[in-house]
Amino acid sequence: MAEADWQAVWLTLKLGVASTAILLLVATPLAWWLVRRSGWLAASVQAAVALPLVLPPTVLGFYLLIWLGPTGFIGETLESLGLNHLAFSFEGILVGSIIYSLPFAVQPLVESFRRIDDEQLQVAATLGAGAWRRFWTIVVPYCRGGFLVSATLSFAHTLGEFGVILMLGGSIPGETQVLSVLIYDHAEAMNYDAAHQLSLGLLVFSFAVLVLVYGWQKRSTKSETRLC
Amino acid sequence: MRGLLCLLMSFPLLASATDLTIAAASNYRLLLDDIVQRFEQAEQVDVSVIYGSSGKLATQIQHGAPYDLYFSANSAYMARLEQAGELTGRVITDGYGQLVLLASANSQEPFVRPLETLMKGKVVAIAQPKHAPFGQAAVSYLKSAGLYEQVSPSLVYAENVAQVMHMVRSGAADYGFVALSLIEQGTDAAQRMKILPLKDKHLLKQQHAVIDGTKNTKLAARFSHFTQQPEITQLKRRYGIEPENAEVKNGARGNGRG
Repeated sequence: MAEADWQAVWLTLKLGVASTAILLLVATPLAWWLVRRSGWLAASVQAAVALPLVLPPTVLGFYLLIWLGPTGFIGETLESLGLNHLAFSFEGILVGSIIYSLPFAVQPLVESFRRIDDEQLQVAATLGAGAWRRFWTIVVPYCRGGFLVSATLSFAHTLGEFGVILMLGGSIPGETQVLSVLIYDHAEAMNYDAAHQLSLGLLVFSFAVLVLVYGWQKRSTKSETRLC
Repeated sequence: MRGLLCLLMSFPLLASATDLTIAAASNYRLLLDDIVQRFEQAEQVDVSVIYGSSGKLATQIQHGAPYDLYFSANSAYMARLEQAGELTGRVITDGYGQLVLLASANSQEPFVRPLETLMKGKVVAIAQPKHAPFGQAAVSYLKSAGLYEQVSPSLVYAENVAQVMHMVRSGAADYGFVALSLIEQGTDAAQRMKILPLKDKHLLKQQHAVIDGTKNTKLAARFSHFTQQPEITQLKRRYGIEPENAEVKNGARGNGRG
């Protein structure tokens, strides 16, 4: 494999790991809030979270390029603070990935949190355990299946991201040229050997990741979180 | 359920049939849209055009895409299709495309300073040189001007020249290498561009040909003939495609466009 191909492999993994880590931090409180709230506001938030499931990625890419660029409200704000705008940068495609994979991170956690026994939490509270302690000693162990599925799906979904990054990234080697975009470029330029190599690698890797998760789920007795 | 099935079954009947399908390089958009409109009126037919990068469309044709005509922004892709036996009849040269550097609305700099200074630390968008002729021409220009080493770190790559236009329009890129034929007369973009002289103008030889095996050979041939009428030649000039044997003047084009 050429150096540019390896560069894209590392960049894709870096994007997958970074977006998964941030997604877990964002999705956990969001899922917790969604489980405990009802009404129009919760329904609207849930709909907003699910939007990337139904919108074409090109729509996300189109708007994000405008918003994150130097004339968009986010990019302009950053520039006025002396920072760089986010179009055509790793940080930009990271924002894109987080939005794009948000429903895949939130949904398994919502399912998982729904099954928590509230009584246990109340007992722990009366015994003087604070919110953090209840979270780490009850919620995390009880919902670890949900967390695992949430993380795996976010990671796998980010690996397969294409449309958003194509419009927002600018295919810069080492910065925004992830595997899916590089495979596309190779195929368009008729470098079929390189496209085959990378595609097969991605196929095997994605399949292996999903087999591990399903296998873990089947064996897990505590968590019954399903992928679909 | 049955009602839904009936609806789905009748869908093909509702869809309008296209008489001619054209695959064209993105830089042909304004010119071809105009030609197609005239041709549809003259012939009372329905023509649809699919735009993309020349390389991508050539690849699709080699994989059996159902196009009747192919318009390419350079001769290499046309030659490749000809060698592969994908074309029928002659390859027609429409003229030569012209490379333009377009500045975004938020870059206040007029083109009075050298490009070297202009592009310093700026985001410069080009079409992917792997499969887009205007991207290849942009790289060739930058190399011949001795700017490639300096500018390459700040290059961002678009899928085709039309996406470069979008990147510059949205302000996400400060500058973009685009086709003169994509810049409409009288728009403010026409005030923010500089035509770049290419050492090798053959890099942007605009050609078209009829695809072999199409069911619409006659209509495709008529369309090809239609594009060679004198009035259409004038049209090409107005849209920034220089006819063969014409002197390319930097900074000016036919019919007073500048």
